[in-house]
Amino acid sequence: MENRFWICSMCSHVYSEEEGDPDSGIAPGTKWEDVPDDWVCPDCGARKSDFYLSE
Amino acid sequence: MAIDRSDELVLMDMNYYNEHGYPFQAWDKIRSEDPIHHIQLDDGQSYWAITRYDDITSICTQPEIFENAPKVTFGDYSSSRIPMLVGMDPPDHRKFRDLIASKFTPLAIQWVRPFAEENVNRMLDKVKQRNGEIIDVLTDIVAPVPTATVQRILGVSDEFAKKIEEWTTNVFGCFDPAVNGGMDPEEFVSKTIKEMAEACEALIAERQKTPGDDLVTALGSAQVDGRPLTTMEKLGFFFLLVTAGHETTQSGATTGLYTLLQHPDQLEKLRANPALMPTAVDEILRFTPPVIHFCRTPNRDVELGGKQIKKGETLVLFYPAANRDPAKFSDPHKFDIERKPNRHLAFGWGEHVCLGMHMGRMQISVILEQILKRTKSIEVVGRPVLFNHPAIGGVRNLFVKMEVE
Repeated sequence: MENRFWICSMCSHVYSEEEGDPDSGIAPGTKWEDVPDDWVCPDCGARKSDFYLSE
Repeated sequence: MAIDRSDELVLMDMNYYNEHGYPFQAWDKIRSEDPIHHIQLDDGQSYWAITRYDDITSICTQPEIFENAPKVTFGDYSSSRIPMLVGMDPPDHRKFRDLIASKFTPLAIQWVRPFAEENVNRMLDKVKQRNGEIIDVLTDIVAPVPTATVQRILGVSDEFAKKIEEWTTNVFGCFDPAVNGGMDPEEFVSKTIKEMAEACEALIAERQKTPGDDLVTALGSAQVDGRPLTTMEKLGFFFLLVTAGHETTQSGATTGLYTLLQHPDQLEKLRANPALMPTAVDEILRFTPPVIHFCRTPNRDVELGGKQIKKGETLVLFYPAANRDPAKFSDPHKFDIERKPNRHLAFGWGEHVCLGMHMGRMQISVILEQILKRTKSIEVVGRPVLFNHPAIGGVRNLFVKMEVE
Protein backbone atom coordinates (compact mmCIF):
# COMPACT_ATOMS: atom_id res chain seq x y z
CA MET A 1 0.00 0.00 0.00
CA GLU A 2 1.35 3.42 -0.88
CA ASN A 3 1.98 5.39 2.30
CA ARG A 4 0.78 8.93 1.80
CA PHE A 5 1.51 11.86 4.08
CA TRP A 6 -0.88 14.73 4.72
CA ILE A 7 0.45 17.96 6.18
CA CYS A 8 -1.46 20.31 8.46
CA SER A 9 -1.33 23.79 6.96
CA MET A 10 -1.79 25.35 10.41
CA CYS A 11 0.97 23.58 12.39
CA SER A 12 2.77 21.28 9.92
CA HIS A 13 1.75 18.13 11.80
CA VAL A 14 2.16 15.11 9.51
CA TYR A 15 -0.58 12.50 9.18
CA SER A 16 0.94 9.28 7.90
CA GLU A 17 -1.58 6.77 6.57
CA GLU A 18 0.72 3.98 7.73
CA GLU A 19 0.71 5.27 11.31
CA GLY A 20 -2.81 6.65 11.55
CA ASP A 21 -3.65 8.52 14.77
CA PRO A 22 -4.40 5.81 17.34
CA ASP A 23 -4.78 8.30 20.21
CA SER A 24 -7.73 9.77 18.32
CA GLY A 25 -9.16 6.39 17.35
CA ILE A 26 -7.74 6.33 13.80
CA ALA A 27 -6.08 2.95 13.32
CA PRO A 28 -2.72 2.58 11.54
CA GLY A 29 -3.29 2.03 7.86
CA THR A 30 -6.35 4.28 7.65
CA LYS A 31 -6.41 5.98 4.29
CA TRP A 32 -7.02 9.71 4.35
CA GLU A 33 -10.38 9.33 2.61
CA ASP A 34 -11.53 7.09 5.47
CA VAL A 35 -10.52 9.49 8.26
CA PRO A 36 -13.79 10.95 9.60
CA ASP A 37 -14.60 14.47 8.48
CA ASP A 38 -14.84 15.65 12.07
CA TRP A 39 -11.31 14.48 12.91
CA VAL A 40 -9.01 17.35 13.89
CA CYS A 41 -5.26 17.73 13.90
CA PRO A 42 -4.04 16.22 17.17
CA ASP A 43 -1.43 18.96 17.60
CA CYS A 44 -3.45 22.07 16.90
CA GLY A 45 -7.11 21.28 16.27
CA ALA A 46 -7.09 22.25 12.59
CA ARG A 47 -9.76 20.62 10.47
CA LYS A 48 -9.25 17.83 7.98
CA SER A 49 -9.83 20.39 5.21
CA ASP A 50 -6.75 22.27 6.44
CA PHE A 51 -4.46 19.41 5.45
CA TYR A 52 -2.73 19.03 2.11
CA LEU A 53 -1.13 16.03 0.43
CA SER A 54 2.63 15.99 0.61
CA GLU A 55 4.06 15.60 -2.87
CA MET B 1 -16.42 23.64 47.59
CA ALA B 2 -18.77 26.39 46.49
CA ILE B 3 -17.54 29.20 44.29
CA ASP B 4 -17.38 32.46 46.19
CA ARG B 5 -17.06 36.04 45.03
CA SER B 6 -13.32 36.15 45.62
CA ASP B 7 -12.87 33.18 43.27
CA GLU B 8 -14.72 35.12 40.59
CA LEU B 9 -12.91 38.40 41.06
CA VAL B 10 -9.41 36.98 41.25
CA LEU B 11 -9.50 35.73 37.66
CA MET B 12 -9.17 39.27 36.26
CA ASP B 13 -7.28 40.73 39.21
CA MET B 14 -3.91 41.86 37.90
CA ASN B 15 -2.70 42.58 41.40
CA TYR B 16 -3.38 38.97 42.31
CA TYR B 17 -1.43 37.74 39.31
CA ASN B 18 1.41 40.08 40.22
CA GLU B 19 1.45 39.00 43.85
CA HIS B 20 0.60 35.30 43.70
CA GLY B 21 0.75 34.09 40.11
CA TYR B 22 -2.04 32.12 38.52
CA PRO B 23 -5.27 31.49 40.51
CA PHE B 24 -5.30 27.73 40.00
CA GLN B 25 -7.42 27.08 43.10
CA ALA B 26 -10.15 29.40 41.87
CA TRP B 27 -10.08 27.82 38.41
CA ASP B 28 -10.25 24.33 39.94
CA LYS B 29 -13.28 25.31 41.98
CA ILE B 30 -15.08 26.89 39.05
CA ARG B 31 -14.23 24.00 36.73
CA SER B 32 -15.52 21.54 39.28
CA GLU B 33 -18.67 23.39 40.37
CA ASP B 34 -19.79 25.37 37.34
CA PRO B 35 -17.39 24.99 34.39
CA ILE B 36 -19.22 27.53 32.26
CA HIS B 37 -19.67 30.18 34.87
CA HIS B 38 -21.12 33.65 34.44
CA ILE B 39 -19.21 36.38 36.24
CA GLN B 40 -20.42 39.94 36.73
CA LEU B 41 -17.57 42.32 37.44
CA ASP B 42 -17.89 45.36 39.68
CA ASP B 43 -17.18 47.70 36.75
CA GLY B 44 -20.30 46.52 34.93
CA GLN B 45 -18.55 44.16 32.51
CA SER B 46 -19.48 40.49 32.53
CA TYR B 47 -18.28 37.30 30.90
CA TRP B 48 -18.60 33.53 30.89
CA ALA B 49 -15.51 31.86 32.37
CA ILE B 50 -14.66 28.74 30.33
CA THR B 51 -12.42 26.40 32.28
CA ARG B 52 -12.72 22.90 30.83
CA TYR B 53 -10.32 21.63 28.17
CA ASP B 54 -13.02 20.13 25.96
CA ASP B 55 -15.18 23.26 26.05
CA ILE B 56 -12.26 25.46 25.00
CA THR B 57 -11.23 23.18 22.14
CA SER B 58 -14.84 22.94 21.00
CA ILE B 59 -15.19 26.73 20.92
CA CYS B 60 -11.86 27.18 19.16
CA THR B 61 -12.85 24.76 16.40
CA GLN B 62 -16.05 26.66 15.61
CA PRO B 63 -14.74 30.05 14.46
CA GLU B 64 -17.84 30.52 12.29
CA ILE B 65 -19.85 30.87 15.51
CA PHE B 66 -17.35 32.01 18.14
CA GLU B 67 -15.58 35.08 16.80
CA ASN B 68 -12.40 36.76 17.93
CA ALA B 69 -13.79 40.22 17.18
CA PRO B 70 -14.66 42.54 18.78
CA LYS B 71 -13.07 41.73 22.16
CA VAL B 72 -9.77 39.91 21.89
CA THR B 73 -8.78 39.99 25.56
CA PHE B 74 -9.52 41.91 28.70
CA GLY B 75 -6.88 44.59 29.13
CA ASP B 76 -6.26 44.80 25.40
CA TYR B 77 -6.13 48.30 24.03
CA SER B 78 -4.48 47.51 20.73
CA SER B 79 -6.51 45.10 18.62
CA SER B 80 -9.46 47.48 18.39
CA ARG B 81 -7.11 50.07 16.87
CA ILE B 82 -5.01 47.91 14.57
CA PRO B 83 -6.22 45.09 12.29
CA MET B 84 -4.33 42.04 13.58
CA LEU B 85 -4.69 38.29 13.11
CA VAL B 86 -5.82 37.86 16.72
CA GLY B 87 -8.78 40.16 16.08
CA MET B 88 -9.80 38.77 12.70
CA ASP B 89 -12.31 36.07 11.79
CA PRO B 90 -12.82 33.83 8.76
CA PRO B 91 -12.59 34.37 5.84
CA ASP B 92 -10.27 37.37 6.30
CA HIS B 93 -8.22 35.71 9.06
CA ARG B 94 -6.99 32.92 6.84
CA LYS B 95 -6.24 35.26 3.90
CA PHE B 96 -4.00 37.39 6.11
CA ARG B 97 -2.48 34.48 8.00
CA ASP B 98 -1.53 32.77 4.74
CA LEU B 99 0.53 35.82 3.75
CA ILE B 100 3.19 34.96 6.31
CA ALA B 101 2.47 31.39 7.43
CA SER B 102 5.17 29.86 5.22
CA LYS B 103 7.84 31.80 7.16
CA PHE B 104 6.96 30.02 10.41
CA THR B 105 6.87 26.34 9.43
CA PRO B 106 9.36 23.98 11.14
CA LEU B 107 11.40 23.89 7.93
CA ALA B 108 11.39 27.66 7.45
CA ILE B 109 12.55 28.42 10.99
CA GLN B 110 15.54 26.10 11.07
CA TRP B 111 17.82 29.17 10.94
CA VAL B 112 16.52 30.23 14.35
CA ARG B 113 18.24 27.45 16.33
CA PRO B 114 21.88 28.36 15.63
CA PHE B 115 20.99 32.05 15.69
CA ALA B 116 19.31 31.85 19.09
CA GLU B 117 22.11 29.64 20.40
CA GLU B 118 24.69 32.21 19.39
CA ASN B 119 22.69 35.00 21.01
CA VAL B 120 22.02 33.27 24.31
CA ASN B 121 25.68 32.28 24.58
CA ARG B 122 26.68 35.86 23.92
CA MET B 123 24.49 36.88 26.86
CA LEU B 124 25.88 34.07 29.04
CA ASP B 125 29.43 35.21 28.20
CA LYS B 126 28.52 38.66 29.56
CA VAL B 127 26.95 37.14 32.68
CA LYS B 128 30.12 35.10 33.19
CA GLN B 129 31.95 38.38 33.73
CA ARG B 130 29.60 38.94 36.66
CA ASN B 131 29.74 35.47 38.20
CA GLY B 132 28.60 35.59 41.79
CA GLU B 133 26.63 38.81 41.34
CA ILE B 134 22.87 38.93 41.34
CA ILE B 135 21.55 39.07 37.79
CA ASP B 136 18.09 39.25 36.26
CA VAL B 137 17.46 36.26 34.04
CA LEU B 138 15.05 38.25 31.87
CA THR B 139 17.12 41.32 31.08
CA ASP B 140 20.56 39.71 31.30
CA ILE B 141 19.96 36.47 29.43
CA VAL B 142 16.49 35.83 28.01
CA ALA B 143 15.00 39.02 26.57
CA PRO B 144 17.67 39.81 23.97
CA VAL B 145 17.26 36.37 22.36
CA PRO B 146 13.72 36.63 20.94
CA THR B 147 14.36 40.33 20.37
CA ALA B 148 17.30 39.46 18.12
CA THR B 149 15.14 36.92 16.27
CA VAL B 150 12.40 39.49 15.66
CA GLN B 151 15.10 41.95 14.64
CA ARG B 152 16.41 39.47 12.05
CA ILE B 153 12.92 38.67 10.75
CA LEU B 154 12.12 42.35 10.29
CA GLY B 155 15.64 43.22 9.08
CA VAL B 156 16.08 46.18 11.46
CA SER B 157 18.97 47.83 13.28
CA ASP B 158 20.12 47.32 16.88
CA GLU B 159 18.70 50.72 17.73
CA PHE B 160 15.31 49.69 16.33
CA ALA B 161 15.54 46.43 18.27
CA LYS B 162 15.92 48.43 21.51
CA LYS B 163 12.72 50.29 20.63
CA ILE B 164 11.02 46.93 20.08
CA GLU B 165 11.86 45.92 23.64
CA GLU B 166 10.58 49.23 24.93
CA TRP B 167 7.30 48.99 23.00
CA THR B 168 6.73 45.44 24.21
CA THR B 169 7.32 46.45 27.79
CA ASN B 170 4.91 49.37 27.32
CA VAL B 171 2.11 47.24 25.87
CA PHE B 172 2.27 44.38 28.35
CA GLY B 173 3.30 46.49 31.31
CA CYS B 174 0.73 49.20 30.61
CA PHE B 175 -1.01 48.64 33.95
CA ASP B 176 2.23 48.96 35.92
CA PRO B 177 2.78 52.53 37.20
CA ALA B 178 6.53 51.92 36.99
CA VAL B 179 6.04 51.46 33.24
CA ASN B 180 3.22 53.88 32.40
CA GLY B 181 4.62 56.67 34.57
CA GLY B 182 1.19 57.32 36.00
CA MET B 183 -0.52 57.71 32.62
CA ASP B 184 -3.88 56.06 32.04
CA PRO B 185 -3.06 52.55 30.64
CA GLU B 186 -5.29 52.94 27.59
CA GLU B 187 -3.82 56.34 26.79
CA PHE B 188 -0.34 54.94 27.35
CA VAL B 189 -0.91 52.09 24.90
CA SER B 190 -2.39 54.53 22.36
CA LYS B 191 0.73 56.66 22.60
CA THR B 192 2.90 53.57 22.10
CA ILE B 193 0.84 52.45 19.10
CA LYS B 194 1.18 55.88 17.51
CA GLU B 195 4.93 55.71 17.93
CA MET B 196 5.03 52.19 16.49
CA ALA B 197 2.86 53.19 13.54
CA GLU B 198 5.20 56.05 12.66
CA ALA B 199 8.25 53.80 12.95
CA CYS B 200 6.58 51.07 10.90
CA GLU B 201 5.62 53.52 8.12
CA ALA B 202 9.15 54.87 7.97
CA LEU B 203 10.55 51.34 7.86
CA ILE B 204 8.21 50.30 5.03
CA ALA B 205 9.10 53.41 3.04
CA GLU B 206 12.81 52.77 3.51
CA ARG B 207 12.41 49.12 2.50
CA GLN B 208 10.57 50.10 -0.68
CA LYS B 209 13.70 51.98 -1.74
CA THR B 210 16.09 49.21 -0.66
CA PRO B 211 14.24 45.90 -0.53
CA GLY B 212 15.71 42.99 1.44
CA ASP B 213 14.96 39.39 2.29
CA ASP B 214 12.83 40.27 5.31
CA LEU B 215 9.23 40.37 6.43
CA VAL B 216 8.84 44.14 6.05
CA THR B 217 9.83 43.91 2.38
CA ALA B 218 7.50 40.94 1.91
CA LEU B 219 4.59 42.83 3.49
CA GLY B 220 5.34 45.77 1.21
CA SER B 221 4.49 43.69 -1.84
CA ALA B 222 1.83 41.43 -0.30
CA GLN B 223 -1.71 41.47 -1.64
CA VAL B 224 -5.07 40.41 -0.25
CA ASP B 225 -8.09 40.13 -2.52
CA GLY B 226 -6.01 41.58 -5.34
CA ARG B 227 -5.03 44.75 -3.48
CA PRO B 228 -1.92 45.78 -1.53
CA LEU B 229 -2.10 45.79 2.26
CA THR B 230 -3.00 49.10 3.87
CA THR B 231 -0.49 50.73 6.19
CA MET B 232 -2.58 49.70 9.21
CA GLU B 233 -2.72 46.09 8.03
CA LYS B 234 1.08 46.05 7.68
CA LEU B 235 1.31 47.59 11.14
CA GLY B 236 -0.93 44.75 12.38
CA PHE B 237 1.64 42.14 11.42
CA PHE B 238 4.47 44.29 12.70
CA PHE B 239 2.72 44.88 16.01
CA LEU B 240 1.84 41.23 16.53
CA LEU B 241 5.34 40.03 15.79
CA VAL B 242 6.97 42.69 17.91
CA THR B 243 4.72 42.21 20.93
CA ALA B 244 3.05 38.82 21.12
CA GLY B 245 5.79 37.21 19.08
CA HIS B 246 8.37 37.79 21.70
CA GLU B 247 6.92 38.71 25.10
CA THR B 248 5.40 35.24 25.32
CA THR B 249 8.72 33.59 24.52
CA GLN B 250 10.39 35.67 27.22
CA SER B 251 7.77 34.58 29.74
CA GLY B 252 8.03 30.95 28.62
CA ALA B 253 11.80 30.84 29.08
CA THR B 254 12.02 32.80 32.34
CA THR B 255 9.01 31.06 33.88
CA GLY B 256 10.39 27.78 32.61
CA LEU B 257 13.70 28.25 34.40
CA TYR B 258 11.92 29.29 37.59
CA THR B 259 9.62 26.27 37.44
CA LEU B 260 12.59 23.94 36.99
CA LEU B 261 14.36 25.58 39.93
CA GLN B 262 11.27 25.03 42.05
CA HIS B 263 11.24 21.35 41.08
CA PRO B 264 14.86 20.31 41.66
CA ASP B 265 14.18 16.63 40.93
CA GLN B 266 12.91 17.56 37.47
CA LEU B 267 15.81 19.97 36.95
CA GLU B 268 18.33 17.27 37.78
CA LYS B 269 16.56 14.82 35.50
CA LEU B 270 16.83 17.34 32.66
CA ARG B 271 20.48 18.13 33.42
CA ALA B 272 21.25 14.41 33.36
CA ASN B 273 19.33 13.85 30.12
CA PRO B 274 19.17 16.95 27.88
CA ALA B 275 17.29 14.87 25.29
CA LEU B 276 14.23 15.43 27.50
CA MET B 277 14.17 19.13 26.59
CA PRO B 278 11.30 18.90 24.03
CA THR B 279 8.90 17.25 26.49
CA ALA B 280 10.21 19.52 29.28
CA VAL B 281 9.36 22.64 27.26
CA ASP B 282 5.85 21.38 26.56
CA GLU B 283 5.38 20.63 30.25
CA ILE B 284 6.62 24.12 31.15
CA LEU B 285 4.09 25.55 28.72
CA ARG B 286 1.31 23.36 30.05
CA PHE B 287 2.13 24.16 33.67
CA THR B 288 2.26 27.96 33.30
CA PRO B 289 1.23 29.02 29.80
CA PRO B 290 2.31 32.60 29.02
CA VAL B 291 -1.09 33.44 27.57
CA ILE B 292 -3.77 33.42 30.27
CA HIS B 293 -6.84 34.00 28.16
CA PHE B 294 -8.36 35.02 24.89
CA CYS B 295 -11.99 36.00 24.42
CA ARG B 296 -14.58 34.77 21.97
CA THR B 297 -17.96 36.28 21.13
CA PRO B 298 -20.76 34.13 19.70
CA ASN B 299 -22.50 35.66 16.72
CA ARG B 300 -25.75 33.90 17.61
CA ASP B 301 -27.48 32.51 20.69
CA VAL B 302 -25.86 29.18 21.56
CA GLU B 303 -26.18 26.45 24.14
CA LEU B 304 -22.92 25.49 25.80
CA GLY B 305 -22.65 22.87 28.50
CA GLY B 306 -26.27 23.37 29.42
CA LYS B 307 -25.95 27.14 29.63
CA GLN B 308 -27.75 29.52 27.27
CA ILE B 309 -25.23 32.01 25.92
CA LYS B 310 -26.65 35.05 24.16
CA LYS B 311 -25.29 36.50 20.94
CA GLY B 312 -22.67 39.12 21.78
CA GLU B 313 -21.82 37.89 25.28
CA THR B 314 -18.14 37.48 26.08
CA LEU B 315 -16.60 34.07 26.65
CA VAL B 316 -13.17 34.01 28.31
CA LEU B 317 -11.12 30.95 27.51
CA PHE B 318 -8.73 30.33 30.42
CA TYR B 319 -5.92 28.22 28.97
CA PRO B 320 -4.09 27.60 32.26
CA ALA B 321 -7.33 26.16 33.66
CA ALA B 322 -7.72 23.85 30.66
CA ASN B 323 -4.09 22.78 31.04
CA ARG B 324 -4.85 21.56 34.57
CA ASP B 325 -8.15 19.88 33.69
CA PRO B 326 -8.08 16.47 35.40
CA ALA B 327 -10.38 15.12 32.69
CA LYS B 328 -7.53 15.64 30.24
CA PHE B 329 -4.30 15.50 32.27
CA SER B 330 -3.61 12.96 34.98
CA ASP B 331 -2.26 14.50 38.20
CA PRO B 332 -2.56 17.91 36.52
CA HIS B 333 -0.79 19.91 39.24
CA LYS B 334 2.27 17.70 39.03
CA PHE B 335 5.17 19.12 37.01
CA ASP B 336 6.53 16.16 35.04
CA ILE B 337 9.03 16.86 32.29
CA GLU B 338 8.39 13.41 30.80
CA ARG B 339 4.60 13.87 30.56
CA LYS B 340 3.25 12.23 27.42
CA PRO B 341 0.89 12.82 25.72
CA ASN B 342 0.82 16.52 26.49
CA ARG B 343 -1.66 18.24 24.21
CA HIS B 344 -1.78 21.46 26.17
CA LEU B 345 -3.43 24.66 24.97
CA ALA B 346 -0.58 27.10 25.59
CA PHE B 347 -0.60 27.90 21.86
CA GLY B 348 -4.36 27.91 21.58
CA TRP B 349 -6.26 25.55 19.32
CA GLY B 350 -7.95 25.48 15.93
CA GLU B 351 -8.22 28.42 13.55
CA HIS B 352 -6.16 30.80 15.68
CA VAL B 353 -3.47 28.38 16.88
CA CYS B 354 -0.27 30.33 17.40
CA LEU B 355 1.65 30.91 14.18
CA GLY B 356 4.86 31.16 16.17
CA MET B 357 4.43 27.89 18.08
CA HIS B 358 7.45 26.15 16.55
CA MET B 359 9.63 29.23 16.89
CA GLY B 360 8.50 29.72 20.48
CA ARG B 361 9.26 26.12 21.42
CA MET B 362 12.62 26.28 19.68
CA GLN B 363 13.76 29.47 21.35
CA ILE B 364 12.67 28.41 24.82
CA SER B 365 14.47 25.07 24.29
CA VAL B 366 17.69 26.73 23.15
CA ILE B 367 17.70 29.26 25.99
CA LEU B 368 17.14 26.66 28.70
CA GLU B 369 19.50 24.18 27.08
CA GLN B 370 22.40 26.63 27.05
CA ILE B 371 21.72 27.93 30.55
CA LEU B 372 21.74 24.39 31.95
CA LYS B 373 24.77 23.40 29.89
CA ARG B 374 26.86 26.32 31.10
CA THR B 375 25.89 26.43 34.77
CA LYS B 376 26.35 23.95 37.58
CA SER B 377 24.06 25.64 40.03
CA ILE B 378 21.58 28.49 40.03
CA GLU B 379 20.32 30.15 43.20
CA VAL B 380 17.14 32.19 43.20
CA VAL B 381 17.48 35.44 45.12
CA GLY B 382 14.38 36.97 46.63
CA ARG B 383 11.02 36.83 44.94
CA PRO B 384 10.56 36.92 41.17
CA VAL B 385 8.56 39.76 39.70
CA LEU B 386 5.45 38.43 38.02
CA PHE B 387 3.44 39.94 35.18
CA ASN B 388 0.50 42.10 36.16
CA HIS B 389 -1.65 41.81 33.08
CA PRO B 390 -4.93 39.91 32.70
CA ALA B 391 -3.90 38.18 29.48
CA ILE B 392 -0.15 37.56 29.75
CA GLY B 393 1.35 35.97 32.82
CA GLY B 394 4.23 34.14 34.38
CA VAL B 395 7.57 35.36 35.60
CA ARG B 396 8.97 38.61 34.30
CA ASN B 397 12.10 39.29 36.30
CA LEU B 398 13.92 36.42 38.00
CA PHE B 399 16.87 37.36 40.17
CA VAL B 400 19.53 34.69 40.56
CA LYS B 401 23.13 34.04 41.31
CA MET B 402 24.78 31.67 38.92
CA GLU B 403 28.25 30.54 38.00
CA VAL B 404 28.55 30.46 34.24
CA GLU B 405 31.29 28.32 32.74
